[in-house]
Amino acid sequence: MKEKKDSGSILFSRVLVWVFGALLLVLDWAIWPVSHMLTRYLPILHSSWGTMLIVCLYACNVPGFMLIFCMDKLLRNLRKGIVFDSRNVRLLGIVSICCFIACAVCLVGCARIFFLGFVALAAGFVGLIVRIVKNVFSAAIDMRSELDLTV
Amino acid sequence: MAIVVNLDVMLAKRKMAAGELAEKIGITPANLSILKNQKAKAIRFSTLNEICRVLDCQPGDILEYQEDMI
Repeated sequence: MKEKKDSGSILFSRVLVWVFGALLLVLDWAIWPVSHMLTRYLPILHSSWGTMLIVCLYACNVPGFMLIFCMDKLLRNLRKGIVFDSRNVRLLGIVSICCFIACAVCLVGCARIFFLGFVALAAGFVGLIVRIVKNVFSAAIDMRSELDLTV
Repeated sequence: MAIVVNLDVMLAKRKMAAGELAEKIGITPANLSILKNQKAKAIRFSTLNEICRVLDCQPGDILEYQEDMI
């Protein structure tokens, strides 16, 4: 019963990851016309803001899709029962680096669009949390290998 | 690790095979192999107790401290 619950939970997480991936794709496609519309109908927004927003979004694309791919791979490993493994530690490391790259891009964009500073803060904080989870996994792997070699 | 496991010596003295010992003390042959090949990081007292009971020996006959092994 518990196994069924766990696999259901992992499937739900994977669906959420795919949904975020799809949202990112939609945003990639929609940002150009949306930003044009916004600067046309809300003259208070400068057109350079829209350009900076588009540049930041497209710059975050590579780490964004890499992050989604890694999270999906991590969830697939969990479904196979591969939990405290060096492969998962590596995937978590990549996820945290992607978050830090997004943080850096938003910090640069923050010079033009102030609210990107908050996005940078959130991305950096998430990257830090994932990094700490990665450290926890590393320690768990060491403990498990010690236990495996306890007779 | 400076602790050396002399299980091979005791098995030879008692003329017992490793598989037989593993079965009698209730651990897998793989785990016993880890112990025999100096790869173990820790041993439970319960396991040591069983080894000494089956081989009719003292813990010192199985475990030895060698300074220059570090």
